Amino acid sequence: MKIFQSSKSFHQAFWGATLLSFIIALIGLLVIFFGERYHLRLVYAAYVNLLVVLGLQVFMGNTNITNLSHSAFMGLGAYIAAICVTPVQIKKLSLPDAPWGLNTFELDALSSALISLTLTGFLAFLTGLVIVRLSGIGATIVTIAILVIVHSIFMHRTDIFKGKQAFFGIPQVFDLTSIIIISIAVIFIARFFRESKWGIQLRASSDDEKSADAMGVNIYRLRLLAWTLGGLILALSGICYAYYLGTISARPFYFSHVFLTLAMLILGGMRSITGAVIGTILITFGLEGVRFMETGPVILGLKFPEMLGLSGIALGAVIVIIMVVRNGGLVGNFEIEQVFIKTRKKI
Amino acid sequence: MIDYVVQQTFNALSFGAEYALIALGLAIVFSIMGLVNFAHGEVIAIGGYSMMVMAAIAFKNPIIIIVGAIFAAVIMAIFLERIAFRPVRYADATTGLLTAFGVSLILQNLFLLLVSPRPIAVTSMYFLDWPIKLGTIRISSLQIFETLATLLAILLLVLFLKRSFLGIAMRAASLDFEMVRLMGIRANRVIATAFAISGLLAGIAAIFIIARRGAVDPTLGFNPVLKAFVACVVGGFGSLPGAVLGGFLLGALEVGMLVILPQSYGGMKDAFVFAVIAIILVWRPEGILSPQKEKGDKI
Amino acid sequence: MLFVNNLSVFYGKIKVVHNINFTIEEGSCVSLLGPNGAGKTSTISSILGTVNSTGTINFCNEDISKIQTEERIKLGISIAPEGRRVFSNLSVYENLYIGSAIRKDREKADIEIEEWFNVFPILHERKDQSAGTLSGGEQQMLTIARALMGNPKILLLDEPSLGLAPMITKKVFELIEKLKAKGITILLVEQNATEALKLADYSYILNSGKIIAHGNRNEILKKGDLMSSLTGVEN
Repeated sequence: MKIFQSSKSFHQAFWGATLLSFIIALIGLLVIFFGERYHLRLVYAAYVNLLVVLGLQVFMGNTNITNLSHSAFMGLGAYIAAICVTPVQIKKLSLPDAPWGLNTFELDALSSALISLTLTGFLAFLTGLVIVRLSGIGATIVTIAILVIVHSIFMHRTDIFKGKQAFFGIPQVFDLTSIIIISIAVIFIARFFRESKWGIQLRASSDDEKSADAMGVNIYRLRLLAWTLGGLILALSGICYAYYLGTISARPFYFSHVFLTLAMLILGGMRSITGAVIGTILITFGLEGVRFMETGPVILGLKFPEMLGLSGIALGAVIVIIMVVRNGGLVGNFEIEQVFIKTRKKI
Repeated sequence: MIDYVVQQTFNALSFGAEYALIALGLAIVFSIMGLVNFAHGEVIAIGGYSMMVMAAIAFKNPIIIIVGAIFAAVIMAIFLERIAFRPVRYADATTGLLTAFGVSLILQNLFLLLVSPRPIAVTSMYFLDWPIKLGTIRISSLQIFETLATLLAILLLVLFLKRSFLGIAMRAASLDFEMVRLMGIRANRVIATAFAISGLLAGIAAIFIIARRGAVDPTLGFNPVLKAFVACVVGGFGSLPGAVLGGFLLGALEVGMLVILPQSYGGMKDAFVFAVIAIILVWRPEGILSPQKEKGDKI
Repeated sequence: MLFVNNLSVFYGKIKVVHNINFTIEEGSCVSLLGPNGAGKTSTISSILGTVNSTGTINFCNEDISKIQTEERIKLGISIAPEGRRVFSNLSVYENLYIGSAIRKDREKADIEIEEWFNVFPILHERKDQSAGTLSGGEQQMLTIARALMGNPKILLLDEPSLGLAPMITKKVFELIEKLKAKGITILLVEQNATEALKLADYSYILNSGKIIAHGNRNEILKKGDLMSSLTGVEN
């Protein structure tokens, strides 16, 4: 099956992904060798967010439909894997009322991850069947519905998910090296999807549905593909999150996280993988700086007041400024290999 | 039994009235500009915070507070349009939507930063809320006020849109914005009016929300607007009657869920409501009363 | 009254109208002809100010090239656009009412609307109906009446006969003839060259963004071959 329209597409995708992977690996290795624990955690979180942003990009960047449910799929991936992998003794303690014998078995990390991917992917597929048939804003509203429903289930069915309380005891099998490898893999996947015939057809159709239809492009099927692929990546991000922290709760998988990762994608540029990476890096480190200011630090002898809310303002400002000044994001359609390879102007 | 039904109907009506009020504010802006105004919740919140300020300055007269709150909301809406939305006026819908998101984030956190992350008591509107007994039925006066206020607002809006020049111009603008400009009517004026109206509706909603809650916090408008959105989409995004229909439908659904769901599932009411909404959308993707497409013009 | 000099129109970087000049005298009827894609509507749009253009546009001794669209309309330029563009969910009456936007004496609008109902009894019959339910020809009458509600100094007519049956087209051109007789200044853009040439005092032929011929009625008809090949009018 021919996936790429031309070998040129393939080469661009390959080299672009390779370059980005190099950057990701470099940062990661620097932190592993020279960083303290705090830095390790920060970068790990950044890479988890990168996975989320990439999962978001695969759908939003190619269909131009705003998706607000991504944190829900991340949560699903995290919880399903967590429930499967946590040792039975711990589960008996933390989930005494678990139905369906959920607290009677435990699986190894790999199987748990695979089950999580399968189940979440399946849920993504089901919800996708609904979403892809809706128009832009209608689809967005349904994604909001998904976010609220999933969050509500997490918070309410404490017998399975523990709600606000921490679900603890997850074996911490991942470290920075693991997520570097996974990030690299996902960068390649996202990039290849973008340059594949599906990605190109999707982007062309998102601008004009009727003509795409007339040209025989089945836009629903393409959207479903992008949505499900995105869902799988999001599930993976959740698994990485759980397998590192060892403890998860329902709170993070809601609007704040949605806005944070959305801002990362928008800042970089939602149509490009390079943009996703750049946006994630900039906001992760930028936010650390802002959070530092929020605590009311003393700089050069000057005592700054505590300014809670500054990070939210900064985030919102980033989104607004980008939309007003450069709504394609910092890099627009640009992909990193274009610095080295001359390409004709992309759509 | 009858009493229970009547009581729940009142509940549904007043919930629905509030959603309809907020949904209308969203629909007006969308129908003219194609902008999904996520910052609408913060316009409501400004109404609440202005009440807090006025109460702090020892304004006791409720009329002043009510007028002040509505005024603040209108000014805020017009201000937001001028500063944040005009630059992206002619961009695509996604850009506008995301801009509104950003604005919403900024405002919510400004409230957090400049006022307080915690709810602040505003009790000036409590006088609106007293229990009324009709036989064995117990309802609150607030429910009656809110329903009446909403119906009045809808009536006035309809009159405005049908009888006044600006209102007719706005209806024309929602059909063909450029053509309205080609009639010599200033785009800025039409849009500012739309935002002013949405601010007015937001201000009224704020009064009732504060009357019920007795406190204002940064996320005051967030959840109501979320629900109002859903109401709009179900009713047909951009259609004014659709917004009203969607609002009342949502109110009925919520009350219905509260009645039907067993106690233990009560906390998941929102999830069920959203699920039903999703189903409606599958059946009618464009909403129940989607705005009519351009008729005529056979070119 | 309208004097256009060195006008070029751009869509992004693409130039679609190349440095054209034309003049419209007060009280005259000027037509702009040419095949599809010649740049006729772009020219109209530049007069209205809805596209990027360079050059000078002089209206009643005032340079309007930098003025906003709405202000230009207020100066007295009015348009009955291509495709009619009536406000489909508004009633016939409301459409006409909106047309009176630039009048200072809007209360008198009702009187003027009554006059138009006399000229077009069919519009009176349908005055509360949605404009979108009118036939093509009725919509054309409506859009012209709407354009005149503001007592404009010049009326721009963009392809009034487009998509209309020959019988209706005839009625439309009869109306334009009447307007001419009233002394209204008209710029008529048309693909239907036969009728346009008959009506117009002066005509410009546009092709690929350039004016390739112009002249009054007699002069134009003499340029036989040119005319036939471009506009399909047999000489």
